[in-house]
Formats: sequence, structure tokens, C-alpha cells
Amino acid sequence: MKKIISAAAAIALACGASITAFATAAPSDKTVITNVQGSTDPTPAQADTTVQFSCDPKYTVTIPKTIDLSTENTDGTFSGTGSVEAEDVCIGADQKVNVKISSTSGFTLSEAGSSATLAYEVKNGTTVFANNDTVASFTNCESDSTELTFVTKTAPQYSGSYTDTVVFVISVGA
Amino acid sequence: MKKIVAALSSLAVAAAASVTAFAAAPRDVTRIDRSTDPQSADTVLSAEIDPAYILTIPKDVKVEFNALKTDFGTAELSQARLAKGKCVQLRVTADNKMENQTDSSKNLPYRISGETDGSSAEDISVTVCEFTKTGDKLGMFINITQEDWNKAYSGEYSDTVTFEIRYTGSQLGGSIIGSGTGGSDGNG
Repeated sequence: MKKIISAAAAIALACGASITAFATAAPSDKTVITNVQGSTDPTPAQADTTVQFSCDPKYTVTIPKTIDLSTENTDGTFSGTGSVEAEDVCIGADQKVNVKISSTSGFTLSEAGSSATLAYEVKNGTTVFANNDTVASFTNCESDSTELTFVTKTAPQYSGSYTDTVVFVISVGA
Repeated sequence: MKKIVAALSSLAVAAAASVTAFAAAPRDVTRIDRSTDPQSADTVLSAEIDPAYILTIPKDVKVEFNALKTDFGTAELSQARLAKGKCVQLRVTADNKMENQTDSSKNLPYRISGETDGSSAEDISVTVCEFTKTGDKLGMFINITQEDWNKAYSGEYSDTVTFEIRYTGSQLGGSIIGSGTGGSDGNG
């Protein structure tokens, strides 16, 4: 019985392969060259074919939802890091996927239980970004990441729970 | 043979379980691709900053014979990071009399006074003082009147001053989170 089932399965697979092999190609725009016997036309028979490839722009950018600035540095400031990552980037030549950062507070943390505030800055290495600056750019066929450091400008005068929200905006451009 | 196969299967399952246990937790992120609307993401920044401070208090001080005012040292707040509206409170308590070391029935009265920047010793009570920021300090002095010196018996006198430190939001509240002692000695 087992042998019968196996044979049937093999036949079924073979049929499937045959169907694929004999599938008719869709009609296309083509040039027909006919070689007429005894023709005196010296021009060799030829035809041009345009090869096309179309790739829709695509990318995936990953943004951290939270960043914790609870690491105390030797100078008394507090900092935390977060990475902006890009993968599967396929965009036009001379174009980039740009990531801008903005903060309605102008990069200022606020303490929930009081009016205490704490200014901070956003950096990548020694580069300090201003509000609405581009913090990361990714080019074609690239998977890359940019690490951003968020650090308070001074040692905090007051303890407490501080928060702020920044917005990352993604765009494709030069 | 079946038992061997079963044992091997168990090991395989156990190994798989171990791998699962060590799998990294998913990151809390927002993924944006070309079709995401809007093309932006919010990130919440947070910082939990605990209160911290160092309060330096004086230790022992020796009072010279017939000295009317002796520097007892300075209590000073440094590296302070307090919650807004809170303070470090210093309470100084003492018997206000130094006891003769050979005859405890004999004593030498004294008074502790203090001064902060811009305030004289007479204006400040050193019983309670509140510090709110780094650099706040209280200078303290041992005051003995000439009349008391004149009445003092000869010998060595001493007393212990206790410093109680509270982290509090008001002058009356708070809990004691630190204490220390200082001493004063005099020769009559």
C-alpha cells in the first residue's frame, strides 16, 4: 500500500513540474526578424532589446521608544544612549534616508513633582545637534546605525524623576 | 534501543529549552518603513536622579583658658542634589556645660553660637539649621563668658555635642538619617 501511495505522489509531482514547464509566456512587445532566402540586403539582421529593472524605494528605520539617562558620570552629569538604525535601504542615487530630531521643550527635561528642569544635549561623538538637526543619514543599499548620546548639560541641582519627549522624523532627500 | 532514543530526545528537548531561556528580550523600538504613516516616532527620555549630599560636621575642639569665643568649626553641605523644596536639617544638642573631669559636680557653662554668610553669631540659633544647596554652611563657636571663667575651678573640662541630620521638607518633619558627635574641651 505504501508503495502505491509513494508512486501516486511521484506522479503528482511530475505532473506539477510538467505544467510549469509548458506554461505559456505572456505576449510581449517583440521584434520579428525574417531571413528571406536569396535576399541581397547586406545589412545584418539585428534587433535591440531594452533591459529594464524597477526597484521601488524602500527602507526600514528603527527608533528606540525609550532612553534612560540614569548613568551618572564623573562630572556629575547624567547620560544615556540610543541607536537609530536603518536596514534594507533601497533609494535613488544621490539620495539619503535622513533622520531629524526635535523637541518641543528645546531639549529640556522636566521633573514631574516640581518645576525643576534640566537641560540636556544630543551628541554623536563630539558633534552636538541642535533642535531639528539631522542626526543620521543612510545611503543606498546600506544597513547601518548611529548611536546618539543624551547627556545633561550640568550636574542636576535637584533630585527627582525627569522626562522629556523627542520626535524623530524620517524623510528621503538629498 | 527505544530507551536510548527516548533519552536522547529528552536531552535534545532540554538543550532546546536552554537555548530558549537565553534568548534576548525584544527591544522596545518603533520600526518605520516607507509605508508607515506618519514618518516619525516619539522617544521618551527619562532620568531617575536620587537625592544625595555630604554634610561635613566638626569633630573635637580645644578651648583655651579665658577664651571668650572659640571657633568650633563649620558644618558645610557639599555635592548636594536634593529634591526641590527639601532640605538637610542640622540639629545641634548639648548640655551647654562642660564637666570637670576630676569632680563631676564642677562645671563650666558655655553656649554654642553660629553664623552663616551675612549673619552674625548673635542672630542665628544653632539648634536647627537648614541647608538647601551645595556651599551652604554654618560656622559654629563655643562662647564662655569671662564671669564663668573667673568662677571655674582648675582642671580639665569636657562635653559632647550631638549633631542630628535630617532630610526633610519642613523644619518640623523628616526622619533622622544621620548623626555625629563633636566634643569640646576646656582648661579652667
